[in-house]
Amino acid sequence: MRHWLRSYGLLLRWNLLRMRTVLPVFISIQVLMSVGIVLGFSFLIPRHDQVTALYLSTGAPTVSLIVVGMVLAPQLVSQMKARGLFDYQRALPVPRLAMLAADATVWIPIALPGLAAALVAAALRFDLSFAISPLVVPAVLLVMLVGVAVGYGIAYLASPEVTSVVTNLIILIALMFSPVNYPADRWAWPSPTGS
Amino acid sequence: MLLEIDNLTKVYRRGVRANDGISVQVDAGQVLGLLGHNGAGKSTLLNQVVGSVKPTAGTIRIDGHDPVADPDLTRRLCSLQPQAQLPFQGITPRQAIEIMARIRGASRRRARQRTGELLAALDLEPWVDQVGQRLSGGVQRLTAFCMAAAEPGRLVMFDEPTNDVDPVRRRLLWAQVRALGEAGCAVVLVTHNVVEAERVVQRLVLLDQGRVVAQGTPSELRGDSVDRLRLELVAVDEATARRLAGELTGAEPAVVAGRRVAVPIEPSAVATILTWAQQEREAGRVDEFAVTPVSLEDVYIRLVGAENSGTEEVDHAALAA
Repeated sequence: MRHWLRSYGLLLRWNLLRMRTVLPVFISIQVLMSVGIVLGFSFLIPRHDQVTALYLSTGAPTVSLIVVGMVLAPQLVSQMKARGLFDYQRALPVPRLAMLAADATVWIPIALPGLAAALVAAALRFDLSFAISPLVVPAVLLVMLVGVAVGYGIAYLASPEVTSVVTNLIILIALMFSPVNYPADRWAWPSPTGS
Repeated sequence: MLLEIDNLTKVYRRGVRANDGISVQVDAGQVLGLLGHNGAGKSTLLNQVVGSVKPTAGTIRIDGHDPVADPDLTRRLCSLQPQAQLPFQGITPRQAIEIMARIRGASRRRARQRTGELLAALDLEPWVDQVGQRLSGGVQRLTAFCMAAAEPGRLVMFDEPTNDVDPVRRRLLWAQVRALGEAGCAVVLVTHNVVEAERVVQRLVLLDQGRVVAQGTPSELRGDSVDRLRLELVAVDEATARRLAGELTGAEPAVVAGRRVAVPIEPSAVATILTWAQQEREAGRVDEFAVTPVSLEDVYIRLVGAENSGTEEVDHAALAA
């Protein structure tokens, strides 16, 4: 366990140092995207009731987590693969899970400002007030870990070119087809008319 | 033997045989040079040793352990400087070397000490605290060398460590490679810099199209060429080159490539040949000439052949043959 924690700490430091030049850019884009989802979808759905507002308010932060884990993370892994850094890190004497955990941890500070910005934008746009449960902490961590694990799986298996296409597809699916921005029962096909 | 590779074969998808029945041993304290054209299978071999590529057949043992069956342990035993230039955005040489030494098991104190030693030994001190994107290719390559050498484990492998590195620092780097061997590490060195590497390595393995074509000490590989000298001259034109080649009587027949003529000569004949060459130069039939020992590079090109090489190497191979 000591070796695991030591490896995790050192890898995290290595990751943060390497990414410190791109972190501000990633965080800014994340914030813009999260706020953009709340505002953009509210334009798409002009008559929003309480349910729509709540779905958008919680959906936008979730989508922003998915985007970080399944889009940004694999794209960066692709870059690392292309530049030989991925193989280099794989040859280091560290536990594999410590490596994944150190990578996932870096994405949390990138995702959190966007997540908070989306909630603030929703509160202002829909005039909502939130009761925040402590469960949000493990929930965010779990979503992040799963997102990064899936993202890594894609980048690991596919070539950089394919990864780029697949991650673009994931953005589209997460935004339009995942029932986090709207209730799952709208998935009825053919769609009910007159509703 | 610290590293034992036996009958190793790697066939990639689409049937490319990158390694074909390679057997190589490296002992602790020994520096082994791995030579071969681009695509000869050198990097594939190293990647299998560190466990990032799985062999198709054959075995690898690092201190008796199999990298496929026991990757965690073998990763601790060996370190690798890859051929690819590592990206150092946002990170300084000192930070990169210290973190890698610690990841490889060094204490904070030892990591700092080894980093300082290596940076001083390679004369990198002016750049130690500059972030990577501002560093030259050579400094980045040397940083990657230090990342592998700071806490090397028992087997350390360098894949073309002198690419982009200036001649002065190349010498400093070779001294560090030698020091690693003297400290008891088994060292594998992939390089195209045959002449310089010769001063560092105890044994050489020549790979061609995934196979070992020769291995031994530098003098074993030179074989009967060891005492040979070679006269090389450039004639004023090709016809003169052919005529001069006919006049030359060396240890073997002269070889003509364009205006260039080369002939192996016995050391006892040097004085006569030099006088003759000087007379030809004064007579305006020869532009320049030189007598040199047959280098290991000549032997390498003769053994590996010059296919897939530039025309200069083709000429060189013809002349070395």
